[in-house]
Amino acid sequence: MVEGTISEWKVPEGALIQKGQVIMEYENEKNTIEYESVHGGYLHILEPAGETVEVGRPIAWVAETKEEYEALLGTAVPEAAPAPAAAVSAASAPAAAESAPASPAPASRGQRRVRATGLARKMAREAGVDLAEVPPGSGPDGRRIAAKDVTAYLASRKPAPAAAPAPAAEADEVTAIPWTGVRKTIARNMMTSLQQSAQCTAMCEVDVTDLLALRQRYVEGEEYLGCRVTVNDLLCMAVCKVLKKHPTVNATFDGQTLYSHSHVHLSLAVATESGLMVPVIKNADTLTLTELSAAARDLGRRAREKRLQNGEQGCGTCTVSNVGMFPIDLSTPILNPPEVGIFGFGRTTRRPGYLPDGTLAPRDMMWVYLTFDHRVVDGLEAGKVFQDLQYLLEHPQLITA
Amino acid sequence: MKVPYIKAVNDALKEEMRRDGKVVLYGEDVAEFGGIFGETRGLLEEFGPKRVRNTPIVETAIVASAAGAAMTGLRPCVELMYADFTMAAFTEIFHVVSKWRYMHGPEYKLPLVIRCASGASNGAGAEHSNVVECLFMHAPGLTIVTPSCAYDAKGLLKSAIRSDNPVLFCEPKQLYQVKQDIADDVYESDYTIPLGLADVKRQGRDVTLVAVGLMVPRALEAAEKLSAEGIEVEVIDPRTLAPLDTDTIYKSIQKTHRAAIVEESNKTAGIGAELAARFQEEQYDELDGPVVRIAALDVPMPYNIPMEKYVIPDVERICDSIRAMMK
Repeated sequence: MVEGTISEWKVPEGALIQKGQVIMEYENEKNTIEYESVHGGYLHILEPAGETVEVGRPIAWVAETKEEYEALLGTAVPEAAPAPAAAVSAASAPAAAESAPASPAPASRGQRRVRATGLARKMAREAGVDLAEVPPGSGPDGRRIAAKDVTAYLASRKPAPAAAPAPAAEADEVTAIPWTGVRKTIARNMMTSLQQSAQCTAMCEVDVTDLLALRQRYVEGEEYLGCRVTVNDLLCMAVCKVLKKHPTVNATFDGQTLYSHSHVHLSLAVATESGLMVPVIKNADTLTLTELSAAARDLGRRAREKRLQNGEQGCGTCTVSNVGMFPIDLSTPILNPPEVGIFGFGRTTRRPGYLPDGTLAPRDMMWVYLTFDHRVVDGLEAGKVFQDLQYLLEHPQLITA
Repeated sequence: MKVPYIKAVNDALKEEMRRDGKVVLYGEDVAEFGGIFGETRGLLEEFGPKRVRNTPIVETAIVASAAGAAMTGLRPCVELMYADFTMAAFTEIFHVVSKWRYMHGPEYKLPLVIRCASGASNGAGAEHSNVVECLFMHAPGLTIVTPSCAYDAKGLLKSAIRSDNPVLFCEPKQLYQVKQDIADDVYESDYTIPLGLADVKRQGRDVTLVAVGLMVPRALEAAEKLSAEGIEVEVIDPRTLAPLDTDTIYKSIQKTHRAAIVEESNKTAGIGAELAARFQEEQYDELDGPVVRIAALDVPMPYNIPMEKYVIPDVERICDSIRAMMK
């Protein structure tokens, strides 16, 4: 669990609560859980019902006296803040053990003041640690981060010592890499996708000899087109055509309702140094080949330069992933929720193949594959998609028609 | 030999008067009577009435005349009896003695020592039990010395008499009869202790405890008790509060990362208030918790002896405060 949503506060702001009293209900992906206060006192709520809060972030303060409570109301950032109700981490396992340290600290609701000793601050600074990630525990009042808390946190970030190594084994050097930022998001999205949909991958091999020849002619006409058309541009355009014909696949699904889209908003899986980005070509089905090519090039470049703008990711209706530049024939791509389909294209290999007249000739062959959400797309529908996609790719003049 | 604190004071005076004929001594009851604590006993007999004389009960005149004598070539060592009586000569000490070297230029020296017996003992009450170092730490120009044992008292008083700067020399009167075992040859040697040098009375890794005067033996006793509990306290006696040896104290804080001050003064605006402020300003990155002040309660000292004991930090209170820091 990395975050939870507060479903309901069982007591009002300012209420005098008892230790052990159920004061709040929160939900994670699977359950609704009652939260019992570990302190008694006056409750000051920081995060209202409906808020989704990462584990470790304070959701309320419990003031020991009425005066402390009133002092809390006086200042947004409490000076003498009393014990924080441990955030939704019910097991009160150090939040750091669950949530990878994120830096900079989440700042969406303004920076929360971290209470730490001078020495703890110096140690954190020297270790490059954000103190917001260090769970307070010791210190005279149990809330101020002290040197030993930083030491414990640094130790917890190191991997647990391995079982006694074989005597002659060479020393293993383990580097602990905090999984933060984009990497953290990708990790969560992948896990969520696989855990919350019924993914099935189908594949077929397609003869792209004619497609490559057509693309070669576009390259030769580059001067007239004003851009250098790629194989991927043609593949994307073919996918758009197929999706227009199969609206069940050009769709998003929230578990209850399927939203079928009249236009194709095509998500492009772009590999970058800092991780996978998925920018979206809006209304891709309305674009000409050169427009599509320009849009794909622009988004790909800006994804690599980390210059994508808000709203340019995560609003697609289907995804295309092309691994043809690597020696990979096919893979089983993971859906990009709430989309229900992701197309993949493997490398092209030249192999002997039979022409319609039965003669043997060298042919360029490519695996195409589709992961679909079997809750939404049946095998029959997937089969029809492949029929159409194969036909288009093997009759490439139809793609731009 | 076992040396009482009071004998160390008496011997330091004697040795310096023998060494330098310009050292003169005066104050209330210091001549025939030999001082109300016996601190000047035998001096009149040895050095005669020109160098050892009684004065009327006028502290203003004692200090003012001593300042004049010091500026014109003598090295007076005057006694104000109770530290509380410095108040009667406040203008002279605060304005004249501490500032005149600054105001009148380098050709004037002020080789003057003002001795006083400070702190509570035996129900002497609110006007005879004060410690005054913190008041005069506010007067730049004054050297302030508070020895906590016989050895330090002798070495520091000799240095004070030899100093060309004015010195306020505070002797915790509860320590006067406390004996210290000092090797004869060491004690009888002409040793001095430099002004402005702190002494690490006990080494420890967990807490730096700066203790002043009467609190030094109590801090050492507390450290012994806490050691049995696994808490190692480093006890530092600054010995000279002005100038303050921050080098020694800071080195200790950089080792222990925790600091406390224990003093006989009232907590508010006491020695600990000043030291704690400096520690956090200059050693913030080294501190792993708030600097703690252990001090007398902010009340006039009661006559009642159990109440008097309650007001001043004792070993148990020091232990409790240190334990709380280690939680």
